[in-house]
Amino acid sequence: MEPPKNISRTRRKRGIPCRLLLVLGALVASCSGERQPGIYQDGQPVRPFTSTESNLYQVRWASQPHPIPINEPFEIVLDVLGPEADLTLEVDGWMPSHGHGMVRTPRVTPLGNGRYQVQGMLFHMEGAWELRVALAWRENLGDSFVIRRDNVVFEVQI
Amino acid sequence: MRIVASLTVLAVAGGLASFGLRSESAGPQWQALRAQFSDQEWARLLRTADLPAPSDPTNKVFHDDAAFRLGRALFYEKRLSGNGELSCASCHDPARDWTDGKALAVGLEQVDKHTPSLWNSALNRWQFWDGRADSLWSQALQPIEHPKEMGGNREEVAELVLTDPDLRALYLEAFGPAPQELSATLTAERVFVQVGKALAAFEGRILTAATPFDQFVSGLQTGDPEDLAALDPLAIVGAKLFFGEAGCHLCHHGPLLSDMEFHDVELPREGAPEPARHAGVGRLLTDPFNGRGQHSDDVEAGRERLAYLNRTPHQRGEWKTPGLRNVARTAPYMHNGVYASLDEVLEHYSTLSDAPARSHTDAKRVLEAGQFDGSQLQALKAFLQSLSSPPPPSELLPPLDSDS
Ligand code: HEC
Ligand code: HEC
Repeated sequence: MEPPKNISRTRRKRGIPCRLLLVLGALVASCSGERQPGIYQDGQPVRPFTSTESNLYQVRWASQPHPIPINEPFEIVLDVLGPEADLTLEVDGWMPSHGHGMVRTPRVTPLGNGRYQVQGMLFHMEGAWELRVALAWRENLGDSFVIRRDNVVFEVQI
Repeated sequence: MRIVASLTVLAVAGGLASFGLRSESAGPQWQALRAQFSDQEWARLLRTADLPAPSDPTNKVFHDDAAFRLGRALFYEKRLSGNGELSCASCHDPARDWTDGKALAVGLEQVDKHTPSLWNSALNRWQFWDGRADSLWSQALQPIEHPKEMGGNREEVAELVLTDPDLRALYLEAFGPAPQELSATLTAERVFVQVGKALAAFEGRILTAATPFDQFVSGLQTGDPEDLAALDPLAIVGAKLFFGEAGCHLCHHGPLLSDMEFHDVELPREGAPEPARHAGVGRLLTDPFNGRGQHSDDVEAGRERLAYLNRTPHQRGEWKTPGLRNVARTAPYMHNGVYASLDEVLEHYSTLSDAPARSHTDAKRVLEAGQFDGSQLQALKAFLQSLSSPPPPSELLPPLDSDS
């Protein structure tokens, strides 16, 4: 697997200390000096970078609150590393053993630098959930374009 | 998967921390109980403790005493109905745990739904079996004008409240003088909404008190032997089934024993499933009295409630999971009153023999036939019976001078 390219300049400059901190289990937020909206406290567990199906992107996330409470709203912040593109993200929860998803459609807000805030998450039942992240972007082919899609699934036990 | 494993450990550790009691300090009775339940069952039991305090930012007078007094009078007021003979209490009778004992409600005509109890309805996330209202105040407006329920209308309700001397006095205490500058139509609508908000202030206090089961759970937290003895052994076996093997807790969890969301429990039916929650979401979003509408006292909070709602085809046939507190006293059961007793409900969950045939494309597999034997059925029933709390306090009963 190719090491992912960082999405932005800023991220590349701060790449090393960020990764170190991750190893320590600390939070992404502590890498950048000032506080950005939706970035969580130090020491919050982060689900480590995981490759998307096509291996093009790497995604990691943290929930607020942690651990994810049963049947109470929570938020997540997602980081996406990979080729520069105007990504559209969709996030959903799914219970494979029950064949149903969440009772809500969460809202994804880009925060810049490959970071996204996801509001309106709710896991209303106990059990095995999948946090499904779908990525889509436009690839320009001369005077036309195609929509590319990719995804990554995280298993979460509630 | 490594990631999953490590997170599970974290989650369990978090759960253990909240088990409260350190096993070394507890008595033998507690030790024996602790050994009887798995970690997960134990955590689920403890999650039923502490009924939250209700609140509703979209209703300024939700906690107001004057609004409560007006709401109490209105709840028992038959003149809200078209024929002057039906009040909210005609169907939600406090002497019958705020329900009517009928399979299907009967107002001016028979309604196609069973009357739910109002115990703890202030804690519901959504009101009605299909969740088509997002607050108690917006809910209350619907039965008043429903042609089969009370068959009243907002103009006459507003007129009654503003002209009847007793109601008017209560109204003025709660809301002050009615707006003068508005047209008759707008005044009627405003007062109608205030009627809903006052009714909600009343219903907000219809909360269950502690039950033998709650005392038992409190004992699990403190180790108090007297509390631990509050639940009889059969009900303890039932609780273990409910929060374990039988899987009831999947939908009936937390302090209300409800996830406050919607499921299809495969009740007998003919033909395709009803639109149920699917239609409910549509009606909720277009309800002029929803929390983000002009009559809301906190549009932002109302928006937040509705912001992430989705509407999908699989919501057909899905009805709200009812809370189970006082369930032993609120027969018949289900949105259509199809079961006359808890025995019939449990028989359904045990065999699913009356369930409609499952199609191959149907992905829903939450419910499995429990195949309970006779003693398990008895145990589950004993557990459900342990969820009964004392009857409503007198402050919730009709005011003494009322004739209802
Ligand atoms: C004719 C009988 C009848 C009358 C009168 C009546 N209701 Fe109901 N009530 C019902 C039925 C039936 C439902 C369920 C309807 C549905 O879900 O579609 C219900 C649902 C409710 C709910 C929702 C509870 C839940 O758990 O979802 C509340 C709250 C409520 N009624 C309060 C009131 C108030 C307040 C009044 C008076 C303004 C009133 N009702 C008048 C029969 C009645
Ligand atoms: C898949 C979710 C789910 C599971 C699992 C489940 N229930 Fe239910 N339960 C519901 C829903 C939804 C309703 C209302 C269904 C309707 O009216 O169509 C309900 C209704 C009930 C009622 C009737 C309450 C009333 O006031 O009408 C009882 C009692 C009950 N369940 C007990 C149980 C028991 C005991 C179990 C385990 C054996 C169980 N439930 C498992 C979702 C579930």
